[in-house]
Amino acid sequence: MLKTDLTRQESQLVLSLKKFEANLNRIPYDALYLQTSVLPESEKSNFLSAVNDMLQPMILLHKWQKFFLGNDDIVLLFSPEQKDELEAIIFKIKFFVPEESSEDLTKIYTLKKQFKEFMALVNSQVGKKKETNNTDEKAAPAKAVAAGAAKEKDKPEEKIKKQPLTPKMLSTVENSLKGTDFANMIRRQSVCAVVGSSHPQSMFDEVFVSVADLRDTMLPNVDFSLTPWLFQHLTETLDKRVLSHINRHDEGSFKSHFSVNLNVSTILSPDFVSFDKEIPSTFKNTIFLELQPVDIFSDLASYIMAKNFAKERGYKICVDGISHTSLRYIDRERLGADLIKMFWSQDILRRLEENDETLQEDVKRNGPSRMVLARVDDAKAIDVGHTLGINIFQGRYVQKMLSSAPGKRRVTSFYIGK
Amino acid sequence: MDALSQGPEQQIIDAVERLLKSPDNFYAVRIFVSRLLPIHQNDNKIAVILHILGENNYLYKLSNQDVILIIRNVKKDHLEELLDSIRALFPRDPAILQHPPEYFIHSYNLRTEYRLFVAEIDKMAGKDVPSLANNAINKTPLTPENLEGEEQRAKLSNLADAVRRQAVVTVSSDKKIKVLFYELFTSTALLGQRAIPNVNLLSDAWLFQHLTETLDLKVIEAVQVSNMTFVPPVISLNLNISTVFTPMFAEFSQAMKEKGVTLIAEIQVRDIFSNAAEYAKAKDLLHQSGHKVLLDGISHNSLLFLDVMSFEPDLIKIIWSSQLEDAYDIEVVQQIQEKGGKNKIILCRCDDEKALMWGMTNKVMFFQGYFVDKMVSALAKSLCKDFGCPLADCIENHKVISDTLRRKCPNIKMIDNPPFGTAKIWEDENAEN
Repeated sequence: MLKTDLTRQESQLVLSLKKFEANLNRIPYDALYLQTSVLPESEKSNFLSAVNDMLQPMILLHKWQKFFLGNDDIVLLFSPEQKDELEAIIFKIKFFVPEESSEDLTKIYTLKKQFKEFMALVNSQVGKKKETNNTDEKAAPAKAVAAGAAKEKDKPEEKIKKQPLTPKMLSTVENSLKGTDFANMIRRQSVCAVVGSSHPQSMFDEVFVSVADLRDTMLPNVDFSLTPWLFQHLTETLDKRVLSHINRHDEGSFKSHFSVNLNVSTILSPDFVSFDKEIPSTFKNTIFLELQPVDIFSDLASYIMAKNFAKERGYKICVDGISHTSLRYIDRERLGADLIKMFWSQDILRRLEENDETLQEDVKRNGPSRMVLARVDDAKAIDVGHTLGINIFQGRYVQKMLSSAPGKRRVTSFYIGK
Repeated sequence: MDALSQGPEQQIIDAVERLLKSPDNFYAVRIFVSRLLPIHQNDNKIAVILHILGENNYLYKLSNQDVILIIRNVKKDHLEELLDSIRALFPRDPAILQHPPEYFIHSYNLRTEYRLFVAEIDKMAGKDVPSLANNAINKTPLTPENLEGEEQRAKLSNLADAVRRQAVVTVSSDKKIKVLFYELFTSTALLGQRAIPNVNLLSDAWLFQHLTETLDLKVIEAVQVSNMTFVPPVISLNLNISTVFTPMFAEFSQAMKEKGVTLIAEIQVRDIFSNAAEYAKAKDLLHQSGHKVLLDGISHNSLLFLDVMSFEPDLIKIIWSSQLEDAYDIEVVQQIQEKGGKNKIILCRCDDEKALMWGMTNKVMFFQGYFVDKMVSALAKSLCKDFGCPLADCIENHKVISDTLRRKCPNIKMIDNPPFGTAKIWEDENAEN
């Protein structure tokens, strides 16, 4: 039954689907459902124009079909042979949205097998113009829509329960990492200076494995904070793999101006010696070794040894993964670190608004000019950073700023003043 | 000359004889690498240490991996500091944790102990037998694959026999001892014997740390079932912050509160950095039940990097080593005391009188360690006239908490309720029993 209040595109979509229903075996398409409606309002217009830019060439070339729904969601009908290309685009799309939204943002349906579910989904989502509040109809929460394709009978209100990383899962992931071609999972994110309202100036790139990607592909619904020590073990394995990937890379993209996450024990290992051999000594002072406080304080004597070893060779030390609460206990100078990374959270803004002086004291003690505010996902974080005297930032929002900057500029000589 | 006489042992003796002709002062240091666990013997840290030490000193590797270092013109204090910094690199190895300092590294003043040293080296010549601690050589390492199985094994075991206790005491200026509380703990050696015999628990720090989440609860269980005839009014337990939020701990905490027992949760710095927000919540939760938080494992290196009072603990455990004799360390301890830490510092791993002297000189009031255990037992023995147990036995009997093991002591009342008195630890309750 067609609803009378559908938009034109919604009607076209429903009509097309009806035609396919008659002969499911010969459907030439699979479907992608892009749930724009899960994004915060502030993100939507940027997102939609980015999606448009990315999809348009494929639509023209391969005759894919795109439909805008009234609630801003997008349906894309694409040819199954180009699934890989679409996956690549999806990856790019997800990269620029806040992490918590990215999980439910996209869902692919193999129409030959999942037509009924997809049809049900479309029917539930059309006729919902974003201006109207449908009070007589329960708006299906984001996760329920994503889980709609599954045959389980979940109540729409129930969230998918997070499970802990178990030793078995850890073992499976680490073993499969041995054979993996890491190139696909390695990402770079720029650490940039943003002074006032300037465009971001990239200082160096952090090279890392996206734990979120790893989780999505190998460990769905896992909450790493439930078994933090197993998570530490996993990150240690990942860091070693990243290091050996860098060791095998010849193209020169890992010669200067980058940072890498390492465990103290890895710095003292032969892997690091191999890595060190490949780096021209003139570039070593543009390379940051990022260490976690948990690791450092687990074995301070080894940290001292590793730190001295690395610094003698010219590398710089960055203490990563500091929250606004653990900043209280950190003294960058005493630790002998060149840089510290504190990650952004809304609580930082809240503390400032509550005139919490200890936060400002903690920043001052560590030296704001040697601090990076990381996981920056909106402009507010940049403002708060500036208020605290911090001018170096990292995060999705910074990446966005960079990609819209008129020609990326990199600071070629790197000097962190006293 | 046969091959043996050309071996490292002979080279060392030749070198020492040559060196002693000069007026300089020499120390020979033997680093018993062979006494470390195999996994530590092959640790890269060893290679790095040797590289650094070898730069300005004479360095020899014995056939069993042990290392001999000959250092010229060094002050005894500086030497001790150097050796302690090497010991600090393997804080969890039984060779350091469960033995006096000379077990892992032994130094000889060659002017006065030349013969002793040469005799040792002569013994080594021709011998190729490594001495190993803990029969660890045949144990498989702890891995993600076997972790779950070992965790299950631990969950099903009865750890009452593997739990030990050690007294924390005050020592007055006239060397009078009073017991303040007992720390209850288990060790990897005991676990290896009683519950997890097949794997080397120390092979992977993170996996072991994960296992301690289960072990925390097992120790609590052991304490509950041990039927200690005398439950001390204050006991401390090593806990992960996450354990504080478990239902089992909540029950235990309540039960202890009802019995009038104060619990001290001993928490590691690395755990706090794992989740700073949870630390604050755990503290609140414990304080609500009248329990306390102790910041554990503060070493000489920790004092270099941390402002201990920023963690706002109720108590602090500083690990004794001769590195603490550094002027900087003494200053930091003073600062801690000025910032409200005066009655909060416990000096632990007091292996000898030197530790006590340092503590008392620097106004530390609370002590724990092998030397303290000896003092406590010696005092108990002097008052326990009817039985002439050897001191070593008395020390062992003081340590156990399970009924089966306690039966070895013929005078349990003496151990549990020392007539030399217990003292209340909190400032506002300083009445004597």
